[in-house]
Amino acid sequence: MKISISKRRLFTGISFISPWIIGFICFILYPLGASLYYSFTDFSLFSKPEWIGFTNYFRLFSDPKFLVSLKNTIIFSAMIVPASILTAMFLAILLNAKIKARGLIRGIIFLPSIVPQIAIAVIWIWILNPKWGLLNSVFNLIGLPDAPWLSSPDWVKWALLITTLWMIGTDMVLYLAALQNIPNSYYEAAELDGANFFQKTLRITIPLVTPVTFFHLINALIWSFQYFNIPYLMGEQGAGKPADSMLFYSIYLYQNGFRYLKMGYASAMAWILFIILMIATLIILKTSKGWVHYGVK
Amino acid sequence: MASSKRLRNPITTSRILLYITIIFVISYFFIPFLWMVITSLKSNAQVFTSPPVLIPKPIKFENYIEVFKKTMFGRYLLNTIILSIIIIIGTLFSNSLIAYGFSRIEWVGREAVFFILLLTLLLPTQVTLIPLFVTYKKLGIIGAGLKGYLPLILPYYFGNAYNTFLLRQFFINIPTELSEAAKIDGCSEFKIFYKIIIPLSKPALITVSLLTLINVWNSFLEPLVYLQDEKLYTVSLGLAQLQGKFVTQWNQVMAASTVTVIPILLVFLFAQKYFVEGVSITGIK
Repeated sequence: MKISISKRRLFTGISFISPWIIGFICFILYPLGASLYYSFTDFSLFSKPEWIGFTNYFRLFSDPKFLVSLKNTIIFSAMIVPASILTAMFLAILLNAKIKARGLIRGIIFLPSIVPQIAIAVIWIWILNPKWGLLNSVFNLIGLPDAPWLSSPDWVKWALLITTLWMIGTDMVLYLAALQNIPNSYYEAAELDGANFFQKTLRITIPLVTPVTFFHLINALIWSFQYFNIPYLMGEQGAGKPADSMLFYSIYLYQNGFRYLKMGYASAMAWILFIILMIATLIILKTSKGWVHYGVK
Repeated sequence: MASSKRLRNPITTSRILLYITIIFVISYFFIPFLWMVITSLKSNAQVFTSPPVLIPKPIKFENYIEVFKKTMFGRYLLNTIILSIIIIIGTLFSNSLIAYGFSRIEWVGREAVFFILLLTLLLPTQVTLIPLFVTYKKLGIIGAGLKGYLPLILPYYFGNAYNTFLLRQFFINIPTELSEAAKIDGCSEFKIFYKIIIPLSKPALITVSLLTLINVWNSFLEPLVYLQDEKLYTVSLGLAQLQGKFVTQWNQVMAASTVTVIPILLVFLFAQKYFVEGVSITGIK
């Protein structure tokens, strides 16, 4: 009797999730295997894939454009991941303070994070225009010279950083939720011991929001390595300009796969990306026990 | 009490500092929107001035008319709206079923399978994009009229980890007593699903719909790869192409951006709390 009930449950359970099982096989498992296979072939869409072993992988590591795209991506990731964590945390602490129109200000900060990224890119390309842009006008107003922003390889990543941080709203909301879970008694106890604002932030707030930081770290790492929409538009429609400084990993992958139709080559790039991300995620997971505190429930 | 008097001064300076910071923060997050609208209403001559003109004179609403006349932006908008509706229906339908199977029925191996579902969140789009493109190409779907939308729509009818996770979190918190009482009355699992759980989950379903809408509006890589016929373009794809073409007509480019952003702003204004809820449950956009 008991066995038959659990069997029936298994059957009903599987029936309910069957759309996902079909989707998993068709849209994840099959393409995953196929792209691994393509990565070992010479394949240009119109011809049959031809097995060439590890050639694509060897070629990639002697392809200067690939190395540039990898370098650009790592540099930008190393900028945006810490910058976004600090900004989101800072904004959350700021907007957790008792100030007027707090809800409205939170709304304003949240808004850009749901705006289509292409529109964001368009808006900021205009604001960052070296000659007519609003930002340089503000710079001039306070006595700073014009900055070249998107027209100089040395400045583009800062331009991209300013644009990307504009979408920080969702992360701020997560930090806010975590802040609101910290019992007030912790701060009161610290105040009795004479702790000032910075000590409280450093010793109580930051350690107790580490679960959010941990989540954000993995999330930001994954998307920053796949960052496409905004650099695509800012680098002149996927050209990676100026001087390949906007040539990010996903953009070079797109160029190979869909402009030059080098499907095998692009698949090898995709798998290298996948492996990099898996290793990075594992490292973060392994080290998380040392710095993530699940202090408050 | 001399000490309390001395304390008041630093507090006011820190208050001033706080308000300066807040003004800076608001400017950063809000002025770009304002600037977009202002630029969209300027005449050609007023776009390129240094220092910039802050209030357009005359106000050129014609820029908007020009955008709709010169490009197919109206069509892109309509395409995106229809696409969003079809995709939202599929998302709600598939993910609520899947989430029910992962939360309201206990079966052997459920947690392990759910873990696999969560793992798919780590998979970069780029890995699956190429084989899927090859498959659709072989099937003759790409570049063949309306069929071109299938690659964008289909995946949503088979669930995805974000939305399943969000709905599962919601379903789990519905008391099991409700289901048990219905079972005693002889209700089937499916009947419990659509008679009890679905009506109780309206807020979560609205959240999923809104997040999906944002997602469709934002989606760029997939339309770029799959949509080859200009008539099928979505707003994001259309706007990107417009920006490349009208390099110097910033007033019209900004008019097009405003048109792209406004529907999302309206949705946000009317349904703000659902967004914040969705973000707090899953931590995603």
